[in-house]
Amino acid sequence: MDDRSSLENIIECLIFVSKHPLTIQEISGFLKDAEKKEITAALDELQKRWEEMGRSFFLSSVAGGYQFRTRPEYSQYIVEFNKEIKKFRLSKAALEVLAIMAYEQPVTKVEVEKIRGVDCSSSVSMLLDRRFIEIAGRKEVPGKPFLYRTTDLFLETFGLKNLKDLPTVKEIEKIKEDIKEPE
Amino acid sequence: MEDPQSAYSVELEIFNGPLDLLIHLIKKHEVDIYDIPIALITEQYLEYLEFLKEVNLEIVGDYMSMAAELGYIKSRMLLPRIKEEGEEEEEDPREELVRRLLEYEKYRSAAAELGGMEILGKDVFLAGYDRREIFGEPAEETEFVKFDLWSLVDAFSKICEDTKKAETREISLTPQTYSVEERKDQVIEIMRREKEVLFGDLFEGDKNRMKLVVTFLSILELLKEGILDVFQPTFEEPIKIILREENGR
Repeated sequence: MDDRSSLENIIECLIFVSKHPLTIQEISGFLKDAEKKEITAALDELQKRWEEMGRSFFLSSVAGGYQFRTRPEYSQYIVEFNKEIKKFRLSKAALEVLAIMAYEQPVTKVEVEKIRGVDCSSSVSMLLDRRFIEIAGRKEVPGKPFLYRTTDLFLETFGLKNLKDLPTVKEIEKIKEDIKEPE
Repeated sequence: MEDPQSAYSVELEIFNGPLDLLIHLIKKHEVDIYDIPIALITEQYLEYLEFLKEVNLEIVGDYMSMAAELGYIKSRMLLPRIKEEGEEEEEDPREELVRRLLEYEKYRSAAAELGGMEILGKDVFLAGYDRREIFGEPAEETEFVKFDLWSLVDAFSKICEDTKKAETREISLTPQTYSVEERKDQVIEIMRREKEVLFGDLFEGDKNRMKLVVTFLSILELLKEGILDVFQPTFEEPIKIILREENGR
């Protein structure tokens, strides 16, 4: 396995058949002879190559792993062709709850409700059902409420590498400008 | 799935809560968030609260407590306070509210950005296997990411006012009942025929307030179920309703 291009190919086929974003740990656990450095280099090279080829899909790094995905510009064909696909949907309320949880985790439902000023029970249970969030323990305050955190499925769904990859929250000054919407 | 008993709260949840409403009002009247005209905003807020009560959204508690808070701030601003020697400058009674609004707006815009990401199952897809394995059956959820529902309420209020003016006072002794379910079917029928209609046109023929409310609720429910969609190309143009997809109904 000293031929670098064959290492790339092996990794490529592993990612291709994997059901979840394949992590470097999983790859190196399997390819014991290869050094981590080599694997990382091979992954970078693969990403670059798929990018350069200008194909309809690309090798994305999400949720701490690697995964082939179609490019967004082809979504309409995929949805039209495959009628079975139920398009992803999330209400604005649920999206807000999810955003707050993503930035503030671990966080309780009451803390989220304090920020939104409104009851969030049904959004929370929906997000739990869809496994975008999970229970991360209990907070050591009276009543010991559940703490929630986001899951890997959340990262995978929103195409995020990790939590640091979340869009940066706008600064207050910018928000102030937006609210005023100067003409 | 959502708790069936909280049907009303689900309905209410499409309105994003009191802070969301306040931001809508602040934007609508183009006022400075650091210098909110409390009297004006409170008055407007109460009008929306009346609306929420009227359309039978049972759980208006969160909205009520905000109304109380607004009233409290207003009273504190009206009352002169005698400053004692050496006392520190009293903080603006609105300060706490402004802080909450900005905090909320921070997450609201973060949520919008999150919704704009390349989402799996919407913008990007995986090879072969069925995502439903992971997602399970998607809940009945509608994306209201782009449209501000309060604008729909504004439009509805205007229709109500116009109708009020035109209304001829009829007194009917038999109580009339209008069902949302029935009206929903009628609305779907219209939508199948027309594909795209102006929001206001759906209220044609609704001569009294009860009928208007029933039609409005039907539209809201159909939006929630993802059967209809709302769009408004620009702020000046009228709101349009479109048929989203055949739902096998």
